[in-house]
Amino acid sequence: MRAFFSILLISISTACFSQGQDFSKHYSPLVCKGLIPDEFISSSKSKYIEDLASINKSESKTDRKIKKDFILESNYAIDNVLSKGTVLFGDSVTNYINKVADQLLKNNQKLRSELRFYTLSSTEVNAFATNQGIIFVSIGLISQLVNEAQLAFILAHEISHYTQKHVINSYVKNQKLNKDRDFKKLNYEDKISEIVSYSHEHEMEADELGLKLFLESEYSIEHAKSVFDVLKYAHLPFDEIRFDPGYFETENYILPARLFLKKINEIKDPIELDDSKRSHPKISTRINNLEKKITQSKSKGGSKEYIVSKQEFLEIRWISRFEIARLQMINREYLDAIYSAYLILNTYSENIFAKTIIAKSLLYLSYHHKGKFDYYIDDNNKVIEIDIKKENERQGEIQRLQHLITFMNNEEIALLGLKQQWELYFKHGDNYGIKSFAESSLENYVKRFNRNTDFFKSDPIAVEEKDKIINNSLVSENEPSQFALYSFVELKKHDKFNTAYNKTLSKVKKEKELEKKFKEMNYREKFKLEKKIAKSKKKGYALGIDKVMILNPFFFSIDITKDFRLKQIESEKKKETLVNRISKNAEICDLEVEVFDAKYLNSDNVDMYNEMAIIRTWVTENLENMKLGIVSSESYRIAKIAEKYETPYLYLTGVVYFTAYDYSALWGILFLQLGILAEFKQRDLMFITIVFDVVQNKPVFIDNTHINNKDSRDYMNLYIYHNLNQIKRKSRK
Amino acid sequence: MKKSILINFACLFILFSCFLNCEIHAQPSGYMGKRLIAGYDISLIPSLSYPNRNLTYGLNDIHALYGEYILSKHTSIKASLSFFKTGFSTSNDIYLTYGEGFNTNTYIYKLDNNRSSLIDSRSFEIGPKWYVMHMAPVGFYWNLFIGLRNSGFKDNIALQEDSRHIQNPYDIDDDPYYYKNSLSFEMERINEFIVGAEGGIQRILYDRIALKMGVAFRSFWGKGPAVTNPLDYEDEMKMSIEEKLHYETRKRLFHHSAIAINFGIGYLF
Repeated sequence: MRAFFSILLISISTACFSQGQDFSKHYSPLVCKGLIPDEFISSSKSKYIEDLASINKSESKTDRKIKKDFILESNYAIDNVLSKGTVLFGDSVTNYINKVADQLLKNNQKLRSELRFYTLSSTEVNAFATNQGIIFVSIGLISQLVNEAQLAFILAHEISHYTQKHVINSYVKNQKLNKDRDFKKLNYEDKISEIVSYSHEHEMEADELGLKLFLESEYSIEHAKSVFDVLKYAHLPFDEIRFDPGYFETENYILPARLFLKKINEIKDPIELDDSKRSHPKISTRINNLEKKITQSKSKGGSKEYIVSKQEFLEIRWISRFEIARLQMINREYLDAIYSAYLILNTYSENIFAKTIIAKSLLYLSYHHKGKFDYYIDDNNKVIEIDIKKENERQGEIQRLQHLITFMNNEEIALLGLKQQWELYFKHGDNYGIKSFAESSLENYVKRFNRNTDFFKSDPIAVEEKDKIINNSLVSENEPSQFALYSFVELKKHDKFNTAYNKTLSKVKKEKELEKKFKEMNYREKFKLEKKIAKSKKKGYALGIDKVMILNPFFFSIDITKDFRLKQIESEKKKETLVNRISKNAEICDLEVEVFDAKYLNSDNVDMYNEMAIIRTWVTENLENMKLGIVSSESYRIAKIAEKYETPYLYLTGVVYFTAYDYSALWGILFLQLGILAEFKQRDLMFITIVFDVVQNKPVFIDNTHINNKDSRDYMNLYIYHNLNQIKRKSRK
Repeated sequence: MKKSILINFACLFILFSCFLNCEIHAQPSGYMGKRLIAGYDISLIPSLSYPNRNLTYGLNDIHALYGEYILSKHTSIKASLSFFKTGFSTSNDIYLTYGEGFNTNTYIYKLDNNRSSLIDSRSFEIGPKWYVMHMAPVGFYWNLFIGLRNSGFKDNIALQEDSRHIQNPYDIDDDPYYYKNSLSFEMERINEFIVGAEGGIQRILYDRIALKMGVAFRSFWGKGPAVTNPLDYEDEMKMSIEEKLHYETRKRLFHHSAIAINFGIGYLF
């Protein structure tokens, strides 16, 4: 009986303390937990100084110099990654990775204590080790793994990179090669193959030593071997399930047959590219090599596919898959995001988070159109697309989705997105900020396409009309097809939608009237208005804000003469001064500030670290979306932060400081006459400041000042105070 | 003070005020919220002939107290009170001739400088200052100003004793050392109108101390000093002496225009 109770107690406590999520309806994005590790908050300079001690004094002077450079650059580069908020610690995925690492290094506690494992919020299928003993595993990799043994194999491989110091040795080798006279004489192709051959050696060595380490554990190599297949098909989604465009159909919204792709390109065995120019050897070579080594090895390893827990593995893999869908949407890989969410819905059909991703991505797609690509907006606010991924480049079921989107025009996609959003809102309420998203996208739709409710069908679709729609083959770039006119039939039954639509129409009408009024103005009136605007611009802003959130101020000190190299130590030092100056000036202004910067956090302030990561993601996404006037997908999370800190204003600021030494011949001669070797510096200082209203999703203050001067105390204070004063002061009107 | 000068000054002041009014914007930032600077200025005017300092190159120095108030992002208004003193002459004697012509005795007088007189002046200047590259009060600036100067001899009876007849080269019978000590010159204080411009650079140290350096050009408009009421000498002689004194005094006051190098130190409030 006692045993029964103790088992019950343990199971209850496990349930209470488990970070497990119920994915049937909701998903909460991953956040860091526990204490912030020291390396996230300590200064890069201190780590650099500490690591310098690892250089062996008996090495040659050149080697020592190269290693010193490496330690400097790598420490600052890693810190840059750590302070961005994209690295997760203490979360369920990282905890799981650490548990697997514990199993792998059970017999080598010394090595285990040197290593730190973190999860990287990235869609890339990748893992990498640093010279400092940090091993990053990407969310993308976890989402594609089949079992725990595969993860253990990858970790063993990365651990070997660390133990053999491959990263620093490659750097030293490359630097030496660059200085070598014979190497300089080689052509580009030969140079690459020379560098790559060394990298291949490292990879093979890591495979070999990783295998050795793996075989010492209880994991089964038979289950781990398939990890190479995961790497081989890393370019594909994490699963392959038939995509049915009928998912979007309702009783009154029927998609025409032309939008259904009949035949898709089969997934082919990837043709392995020539590895003479790639850092990693061919996968087939690696597999063959591994097989040989397994045969040669005395130890055949364990037999377990899972040691930590199968259930935990499946859970963190689901978490990673949810994260992948979210990250794909943030990274503007909208087709992939919709397909990932569709895959999730195949298992968790009622998951609102996944549904929201589809609805939001559809809206973004209506602007960006046709999957992942880069774009820019020209002077006439026209979106110019670059490098559209062609349909036939994709493989598998995602082609059906791509076909659907490609053969719909922008307005049809926007209508589909709107339909999905409003349906979600009516069905599930304001989850994941869907309400504000639906309202703003409705407003954007009316503005973009100038349609009113009369344009859409209000009656249910008739049977004969249904046939017409199904057989419709008309494709127009400017007008929506017949099927799209039925988007709002069901929505129109809701008063909320009608009210919102009418409100939007009247708002847009007012804006248009103002525009019309401006157009009809005579020259004199226009001149007066422009003069008034110019005068108010000259006066500067008077925003009357009492509190702002400051996200990670930056200071980049760049030497132009040395290939625009960032002076790392100087930049870090000056950034500290910049933050102090901002705080001091804000105090004088009576402006309350909340600084979100990893370097200024206490180890127990993990909430602020998470908030920093959310804000950073929002900024990255919003800098693009803002131009189009659409809401960020992370807006619901940042709205909570704004509420917590009692201000919706986010202050982004930084300085870029360029220096160049100018040995002017004229001045040189002049000063040599006096026996002084003159050295002149050209200096350029750029102050960049943007203040966002994160709730209204718009910038309220933008300032970009360029000064030809040194970053001296008085100039810095002058401009910092001036910006803060404009934010704080109230308009006299 | 002459009416015409006052009217000129008033007109220009009104003009400046109108201009400044256009430049005043809402709530300028100043330097970390500080908008008032009060300080001390020294203007060095290089002079080879008439220095008021016993230096090799000779320098005249004008001392000023100034106040500057920031009105907008790039504009401020500056007002200063300055003080200037110089000796009448230290090296060159001034010779005055009297009675030139045929059958007329020519008298040459020398104004002896054993006891030098002092010219002193006080001036008030006001005008806008534009910070061209950066914001007020840091960086390169231009300052246009108008003002009034009041100057005169501090010791106005010195000439009476120092004037004497020293030579009569044509009339041998006459006593060559004929002294005429009864001459009396009283110099009235004069008012002049100033128009000037200054260009320079200002920096702030320790968030409180303003240091500036610049070059200023000033032009003075007004009549020279008048010599009044000589008691017992001929009118002709009086005129001659007046002209000479007028010239010399003007010369001492920099020919009614001057270039000065300015250094200043101020405190931000």
